[in-house]
Amino acid sequence: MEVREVREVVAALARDEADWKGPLPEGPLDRHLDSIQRLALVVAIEDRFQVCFEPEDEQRIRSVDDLVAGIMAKLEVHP
Amino acid sequence: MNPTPALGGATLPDAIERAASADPALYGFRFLDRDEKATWLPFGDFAARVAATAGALWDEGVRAGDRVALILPTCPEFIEIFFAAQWLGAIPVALYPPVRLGRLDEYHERTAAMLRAVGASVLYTDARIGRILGETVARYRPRLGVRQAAGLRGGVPRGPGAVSPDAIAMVQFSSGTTVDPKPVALTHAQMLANGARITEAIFTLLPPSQGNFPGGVSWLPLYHDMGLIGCLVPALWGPGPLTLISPELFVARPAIWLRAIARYRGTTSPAPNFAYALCADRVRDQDLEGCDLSCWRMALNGAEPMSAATLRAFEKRFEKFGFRRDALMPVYGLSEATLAVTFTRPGTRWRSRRFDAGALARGIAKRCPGAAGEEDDWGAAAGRAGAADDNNCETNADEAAGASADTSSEWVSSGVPLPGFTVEIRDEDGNVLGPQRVGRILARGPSVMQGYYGRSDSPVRDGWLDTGDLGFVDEGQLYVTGRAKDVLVLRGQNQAPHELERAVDGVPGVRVGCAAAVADVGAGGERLLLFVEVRDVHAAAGDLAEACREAVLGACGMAVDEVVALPPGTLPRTSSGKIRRGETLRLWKAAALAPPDAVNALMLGAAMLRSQAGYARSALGQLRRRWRRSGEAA
Repeated sequence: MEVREVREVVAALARDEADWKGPLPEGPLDRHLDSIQRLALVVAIEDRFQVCFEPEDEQRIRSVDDLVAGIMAKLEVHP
Repeated sequence: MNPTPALGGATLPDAIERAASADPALYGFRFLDRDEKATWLPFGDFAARVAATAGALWDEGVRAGDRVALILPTCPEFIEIFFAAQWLGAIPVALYPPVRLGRLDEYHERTAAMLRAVGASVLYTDARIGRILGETVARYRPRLGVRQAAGLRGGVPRGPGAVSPDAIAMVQFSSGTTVDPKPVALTHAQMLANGARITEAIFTLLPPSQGNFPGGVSWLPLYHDMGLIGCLVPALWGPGPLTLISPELFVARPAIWLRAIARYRGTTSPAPNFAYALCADRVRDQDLEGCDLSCWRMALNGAEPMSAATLRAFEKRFEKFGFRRDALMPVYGLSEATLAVTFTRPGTRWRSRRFDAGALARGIAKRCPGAAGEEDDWGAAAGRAGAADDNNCETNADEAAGASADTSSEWVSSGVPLPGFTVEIRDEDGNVLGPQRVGRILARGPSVMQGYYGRSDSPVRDGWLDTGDLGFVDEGQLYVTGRAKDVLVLRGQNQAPHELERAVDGVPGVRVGCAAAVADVGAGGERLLLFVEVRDVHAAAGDLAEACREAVLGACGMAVDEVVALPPGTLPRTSSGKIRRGETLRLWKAAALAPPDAVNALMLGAAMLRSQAGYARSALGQLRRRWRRSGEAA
């Protein structure tokens, strides 16, 4: 899967599962999404891509770019 | 000290032993995983695991009186360790795991503060969470360290220790904030008293003697009082089967909750208001294909302000799946009272009323004459009680929805005190207020805490708990209107307002130290309002509001519903310069929040003239009085 495709899926999940309106937010996620939205988004991503984020992975994720990179890294290990 | 309830001097270990003898095919805990696959744990097996876990804890050095901290998700190990600690006479303290994708700095600080506040002897967690707790432990290291929850049930079983009903059974954290967490100490007697009252309410509606089989379903976090005391304790005390779902799964896929209720014929399931809103909004018909929710008789709604609009939306949305109109039960409670204080009477429709918003802001709950049939209805309700009064509610909840008077606001009743509890409304001086007068809510009952753990400050005086909430009583029903205390509670988060206010100090255009964060409870639920004094109210208001929202969300994780930009000097302050948040909200709602009059030389002169005229009138009055007195004397 390409980065662009992953980004599109994340955008759709943010819209459908985390009630995020508009384009994906720039900058730190926790400046845009509250804790429930972030939780809904990460679980939806795990379900959709069949990956599992560990707490250490999540510590490194600050922005949508980090999130997409994290998904790509997981998919490369378990494509 | 509060009286020990008439529970035969029982303790939690007694309740476990009692539940252990129940039919293993029918009574136990059921854990649902991500695929909705169930793991069944009969109470008998659970009791055996508790005894074995207690043996393992003992071997690891845990003794009676030790504070045993737990940071675990919803899993069998959580309840096994929690009750095993009590089994030994130790004190379990359940803390919440880190929020996913959240910044951990604040989490470490808050968790360490809570561990320190109770002097935790040991911390049990799982391997996953344990890997990121290093910074927490660096700030507070428990005497016995951080230990793995897995494998403890392989310990050598141990009998329960000699535990007194008046011994502390657990500590739960209340409305404190990051820097000042408040540990509520609860005894076995208090926990069971509250759990037993909830059980009684369930059995009143669904007497087992008449062939009912009450069972619970919960996605609530087990570190939260409503999940722990509201669900686990009644399940053991009843006993009754309890299906447990992780909160994370519920938030991501709310339909799981409703499917579990239908599949396992759950009769009782509580949740905060936002959960009902989330379901009404997100659950699709195809998610509930073949589901019948008519078994759900007690849909308790508490832990945060309730919205009549949400309750109606939920009823309407799930009516087609058999959801009953008498199932929703607004309730009120708080950690310091163990949990529940008031309940809507089981089996009756929830009640809402419209009150004049202006009068309410002045502290008077004046029923709004705009609601159709209101006077007749209330006249009929007065002097009636029990079933007749309850039937009356159905009409009213719907009528209140139809009323549209601009000056009225709709409020949902939190019901009536549970048996053994008393609720009073008092003014700031402690005087008891009559019906329809807004004041501080005080509660008294068998499960009110004795005090905070390890602290001398306490909101309990002479057995009366000052809840820190504001409200009024009307027709014997409690209405909660807001908070007297300065803690914001929104979507399950507690936050000190000054932390939010500090977050906007760096926003360009906002005057430093000139912000007030308040929660406004209204018909649409609770909203977080942020009042900020700005240098120029005409400058790009939208950008400024967005910048404030981002700053607060980033710093505190709370979403601000409305940013109100004010001219300099508008926020009312105390004589020592502190912002008066409650007064800010009151004035704003009364459309009276205005900056002080600008002062110029002309106005100053006019003011001096008025002042001098006042003195002159006063002096003239004195002369007249003297003249009259001298005349009378002559």
